[in-house]
Amino acid sequence: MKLIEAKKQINLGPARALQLALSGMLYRFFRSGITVAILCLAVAFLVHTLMHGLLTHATEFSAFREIREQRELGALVGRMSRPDSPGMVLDSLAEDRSTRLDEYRTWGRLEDDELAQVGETAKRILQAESYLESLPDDNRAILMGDADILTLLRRFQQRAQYELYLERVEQLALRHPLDGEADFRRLVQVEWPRLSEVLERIREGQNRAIENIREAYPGIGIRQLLIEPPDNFAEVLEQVGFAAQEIDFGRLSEFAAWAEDRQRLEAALTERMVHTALLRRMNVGSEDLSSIAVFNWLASRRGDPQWLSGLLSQSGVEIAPERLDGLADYFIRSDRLQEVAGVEPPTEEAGIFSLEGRLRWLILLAFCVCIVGVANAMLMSVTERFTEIATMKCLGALDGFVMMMFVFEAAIQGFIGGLVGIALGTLLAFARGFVEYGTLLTLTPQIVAQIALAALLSLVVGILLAVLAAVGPSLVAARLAPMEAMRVE
Amino acid sequence: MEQTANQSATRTESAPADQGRDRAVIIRTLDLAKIYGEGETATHALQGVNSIVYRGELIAIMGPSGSGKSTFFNMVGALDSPSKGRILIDEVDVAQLSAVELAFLRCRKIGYIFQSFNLIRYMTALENVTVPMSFAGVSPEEARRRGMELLDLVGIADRWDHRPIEMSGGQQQRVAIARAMCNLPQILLADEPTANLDLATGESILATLQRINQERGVTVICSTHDHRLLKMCDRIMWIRDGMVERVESRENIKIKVGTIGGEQA
Ligand SMILES: Nc1ncnc2c1ncn2[C@@H]1O[C@H](COP(=O)(O)OP(=O)(O)OP(=O)(O)O)[C@@H](O)[C@H]1O
Ligand SMILES: [Mg+2]
Repeated sequence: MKLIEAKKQINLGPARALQLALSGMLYRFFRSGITVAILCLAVAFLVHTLMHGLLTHATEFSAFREIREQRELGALVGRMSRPDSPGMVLDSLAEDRSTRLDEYRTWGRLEDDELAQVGETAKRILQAESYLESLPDDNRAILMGDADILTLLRRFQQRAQYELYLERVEQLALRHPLDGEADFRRLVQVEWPRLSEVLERIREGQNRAIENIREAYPGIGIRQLLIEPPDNFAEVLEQVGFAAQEIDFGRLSEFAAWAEDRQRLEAALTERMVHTALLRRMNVGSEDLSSIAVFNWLASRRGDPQWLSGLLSQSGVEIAPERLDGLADYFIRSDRLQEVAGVEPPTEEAGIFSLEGRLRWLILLAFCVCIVGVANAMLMSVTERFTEIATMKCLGALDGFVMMMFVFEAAIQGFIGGLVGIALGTLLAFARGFVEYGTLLTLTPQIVAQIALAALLSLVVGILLAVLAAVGPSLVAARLAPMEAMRVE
Repeated sequence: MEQTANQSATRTESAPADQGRDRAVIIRTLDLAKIYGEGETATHALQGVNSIVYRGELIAIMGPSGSGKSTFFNMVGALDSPSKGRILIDEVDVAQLSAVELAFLRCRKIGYIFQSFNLIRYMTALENVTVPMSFAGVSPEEARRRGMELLDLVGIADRWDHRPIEMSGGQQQRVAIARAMCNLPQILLADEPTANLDLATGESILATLQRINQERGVTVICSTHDHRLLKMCDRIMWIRDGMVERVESRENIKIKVGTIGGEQA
């Protein structure tokens, strides 16, 4: 005689489990609130760490990019005023950078094979240089003194100088650069003269180009040309050999205008009248009176652009007060950019999986804190309810149903805690970022996407952790005989 | 009949004596023992209980506090695992049942009235009563209807919307009773069902137990210190120190109740 037709025992559906989980949570509103709060804090910590990392990275990266752009713009002004230094040309030749190469090809009237040849030489020179630079300081001083590689090569064109160098290398028992003495000698005696001649041709070519620009716009300084570029300016530049197609003339003109005004201000600062008046007004020592000091003063509450503008106009420099404020903002920002970009600015855009060392450890730590916090919260919230589980089982609940109830409860708590935690963590990360970077805080669409991804991942992590942490103890409770579960403290 | 009952009451219930009653055995325990804890602190709550419960009888379990009554109920109700011995319900060994079969047994075959009620805190009286019905697959509407009927039966229909903490001990006890009866179990295990009730309510609860025992043929096992129960029950099992002291039939104890009543008066 079989007592039981057990298949009739119904495993209630998820809807009923969800309903029970919800009403249980509502009843223990305060207790489950605490659980949610712990979950929320854990997720918030994780989110905050992730997002702050992303924001820092993005801000540093964009600062770095802006600085590089400014430098390039600044360099352009220089390149249209005087020929590139031989070192710069050498670097470009060695680097195969296309825009510059095109310019040099035009100015030096170089054929392709010649260009390739000098490129090769340039690379060898840089190789020799890096070897010489890598020598111990005292040895290097004996061999080169203060000279750089180009000076050295020029000097070695005199036989006596080169002999002297060979002697010293022997005395110091050093290795020669490149593949030994013969190879280096070839560089010095054969390749360098040829390259030097090409460099000279390029220099002349660029000089001619600059001259052509001046002739095309007689009486207008190059700076002025850049501040207010004439209509066909790009074409003229192209004609004389400058690679103009990639220049953003709008930004260039803006940048040139700032630089121009700064220079005018700096010139005025050297005038005695302005100098003493400012020293008194700003209450600083003479050695501290730089343009950036003036900008900082203007940006501070004591700054008085109206007064400064008046002072400057007395010495014949007309800069409107608003313009002075603008200058201060612009250059303080540039200054801050340097600071933010740091010594080693990031080289690629940020992604949550590509954050570097220190941040990765922080995130791992945050993750561990998250796990411990969530596990503890769920363990408490489940053990607290062992009697309830036991009672349910006494009344005929199946283990699966009991588990389902707890999984739902954990998931709901994880979800709510996760959402609030994300909001809190995001808020914190942005507040901290704003305090650290002010208006430099950068939000590109790419970084927003990464932040959204970080938020989503944290939510999933929160829910998963909560559920996993709840499954353990509730599985134990569900497996025990009801009265044993009832006895567990 | 009386003779047989007297005989069986004297010592253990052996099969030959029972057959005279011509009743099916519904629960049988064989050398049932339960030890709580281990080593020094181990408590021998039950030490080899052999007992038989017949289908359809109302059996009272009496014994001093700490004698092992609740422990016995938990074992018989398949709510806890024995340290030793066997429990047969309808001649099937409970230890051999799967988890699903156990759930089925607890849900439909047995109704429990716990000494400490074990109501679910966040549920109203009615919800507490309907929980086992939902496990048995009764539709929510039907469960509510039957739940209200049962609450009415135990006299707290007006409290259906109250949570356990909003009710007195006696009211909670009555919710527990209503819950135990909701799936029309064949066996009702009542652990001191009148302990928290006033005389009148206690009386009516006992009357209810007797009624479902007589009208529906439900086997009722009831532990109590309440001597009024002795008038209603078929047999009494006396437990002391985790052992069955004696089993008496009602006919045998009527006199005793009188004497006890006489002494008290
Ligand atoms: N979980 C437990 N752990 C250890 N000992 C226990 C446990 N439960 C009960 N006991 C012990 O087992 C013995 C029997 O307890 P039980 O609850 O069965 O007594 P009872 O007859 O129901 O008493 P009462 O009439 O007071 O309800 C007691 O000595 C008690 O201390
Ligand atoms: Mg008890």
